[in-house]
Amino acid sequence: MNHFSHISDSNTSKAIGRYNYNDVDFEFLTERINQFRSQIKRRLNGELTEDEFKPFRLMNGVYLQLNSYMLRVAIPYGTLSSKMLRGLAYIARYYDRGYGHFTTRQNIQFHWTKLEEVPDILTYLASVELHTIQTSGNCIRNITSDEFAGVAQDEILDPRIYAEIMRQWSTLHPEFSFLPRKFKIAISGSSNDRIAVCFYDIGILTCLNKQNKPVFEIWVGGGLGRIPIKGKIIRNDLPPEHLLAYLEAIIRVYNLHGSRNNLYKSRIKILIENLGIDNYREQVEKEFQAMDLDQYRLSNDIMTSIQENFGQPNLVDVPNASETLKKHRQENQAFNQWVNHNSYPHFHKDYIATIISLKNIGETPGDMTADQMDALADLAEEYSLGEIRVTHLQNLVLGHVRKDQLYVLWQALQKHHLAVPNQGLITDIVCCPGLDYCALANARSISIAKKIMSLFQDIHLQEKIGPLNIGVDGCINSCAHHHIMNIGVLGVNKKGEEFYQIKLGGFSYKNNATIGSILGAALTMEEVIEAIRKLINFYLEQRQKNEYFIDTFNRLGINPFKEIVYASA
Amino acid sequence: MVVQNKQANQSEYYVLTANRLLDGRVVWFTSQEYWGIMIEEAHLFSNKEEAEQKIQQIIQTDSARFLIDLHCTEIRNTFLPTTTREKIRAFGPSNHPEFNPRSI
Ligand code: HEM
Ligand code: SF4
Repeated sequence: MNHFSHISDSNTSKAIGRYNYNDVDFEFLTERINQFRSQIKRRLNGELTEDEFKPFRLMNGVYLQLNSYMLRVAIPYGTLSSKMLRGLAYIARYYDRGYGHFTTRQNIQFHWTKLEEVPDILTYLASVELHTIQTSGNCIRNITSDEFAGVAQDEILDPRIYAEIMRQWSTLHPEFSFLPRKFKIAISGSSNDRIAVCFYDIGILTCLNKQNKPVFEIWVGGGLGRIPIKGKIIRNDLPPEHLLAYLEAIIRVYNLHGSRNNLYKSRIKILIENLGIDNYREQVEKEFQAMDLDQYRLSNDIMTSIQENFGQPNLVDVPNASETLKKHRQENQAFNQWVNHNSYPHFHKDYIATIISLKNIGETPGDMTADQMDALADLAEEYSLGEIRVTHLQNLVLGHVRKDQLYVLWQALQKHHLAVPNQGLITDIVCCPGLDYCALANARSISIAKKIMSLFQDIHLQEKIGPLNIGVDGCINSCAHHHIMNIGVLGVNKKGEEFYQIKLGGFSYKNNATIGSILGAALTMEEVIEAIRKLINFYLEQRQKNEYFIDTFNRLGINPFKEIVYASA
Repeated sequence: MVVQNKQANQSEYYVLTANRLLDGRVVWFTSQEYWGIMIEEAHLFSNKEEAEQKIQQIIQTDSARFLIDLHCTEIRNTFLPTTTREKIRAFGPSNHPEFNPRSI
């Protein structure tokens, strides 16, 4: 376990909420970048063919899209410092076309990079402690976490420490660099699901056992894509100290039996469907019992050494903070509206978390300009201890805002179009890049999202409709989670032309997690927008009291919705 | 613009296209045998076989080293590709009209 032997350099000012690199980490990245630089050189001078080079390119997060190279940068457990966000702004401004795209996997993508410049970009990224490792390939991908980690009132332990441990463990694990297929892990330190725990290869929640000790509830075999499957609980009482051993056991069984010759059958979800969860669990337990658990144990020393590399937020008591916020809300209706939709309670009574919506009407969901990144980095520094989080729904979060300062922050955010009060509403659409960028796409998704956003841009209408989520995907890979959204839109290709299928009734989170049902035959872009207008009108007519869209749908079933869209067609 | 439906009764041609190795940009094979940025520069092949034969020739040359995903695609004589995918390759992503190669 020499990964964890890092000595922390205490007391220098550390970024909060995330692991701060030391010399070993920087050396490792430099070595990786130099390797890639020489691989690019060999590609350019003809020593490597594209087929030989492609795996190296992908290992460094460089994809060839329709119009250019895309570079995917990992944001481990979704936490950025102001310095990192400024670093991303720099890349967007000087190496790309002035913007970046945040994804549902807490990554950011730059869509216009040049291959020959990538080593320089990577060097710059490394200087702000960012990298592109594990953003592609059949390895353990960037580990995602709860955007309210270290903030939520229901948190039992800080999941980011464990996410960092898993990051270090998986980065170079020799056994797991060539898995049958990519492998995605998410972790939350609460028992309430905010991460869509049932839709990862491994999803982890934290509970308290009968002795009031934290234990992990481990879900396996979930996923979206061509065959969407809800994961299952493999173990609900894992002591945190055994996390690595248990994960390793799960992945070893997968590595042994997972299909390697059929791309569509190679995810762990298919293996578990075939073996049955009980059989899989039995094999994992057997493997786990046979392991030298001491060697894998996350001892107090290891935990401390990782934790010491995380900056801790210095939260202070602020006299009258809540009263001040209340007064501001009474005085300004627009501010109040934004707080209603875009805030989340903090465990400290004088603080609050805010969601920065990246779903501006007329703009591409999840996109952020370099200027906005710089502005938000400054605001985070001033108002949220220099920390920014990326959500799995393509928004950002400032986690530690003093309640008495929220109003001033909001005024500043407005200047940069970062105070859209639509979090969780119909215009807060999750959207993949689709056919405007992605080489795998069947149809455009951004245009669909923008049209829906524009149709429902009236905030009063959005409030009347209430909480509702929409995901728009350009193909069945489901990067925008259309399977598990209340309304999902999926692009399909009919002889080179774009068509769209609608799914209804999906839900992303644990207790009610549901894969949506297909509404009917595929429609054109214009027809989809009209269909969604009809679906929403029908829901507004049919809803009882304060039902959400999903409640009305579950009460009525799919047929009346089908009739509304297809009967008159 | 990028998304128009098929225009009926126009003759079909084939053009050769690829992405440039260095910067990934979309390029089109021209009659002067260089690779141009604008689809309007593309050499028109009157049938698919001819276009594919040319691909086989290009693969043998040194210039192929600087191309990725070399393929032929069908267009109308208005230099409008028949599929949405190739339209986006030709004119850029529809959410950023300013990235159309004509405007850069
Ligand atoms: C070049 C761009 C992209 C490519 C080539 C790509 C490729 C893929 C593929 C092939 C899958 C299916 C995996 C499988 O089932 O085996 C997938 C799933 C997924 N991707 Fe992407 N993707 C891209 C961009 C994105 C973006 C922009 C997002 C977020 C907005 C994203 C998030 C996800 C998620 C959440 C899943 C589904 C989770 C799962 O079941 O594994 N990807 N992607
Ligand atoms: S869902 Fe399909 S089209 Fe959209 S980004 Fe993922 S792979 Fe591309």
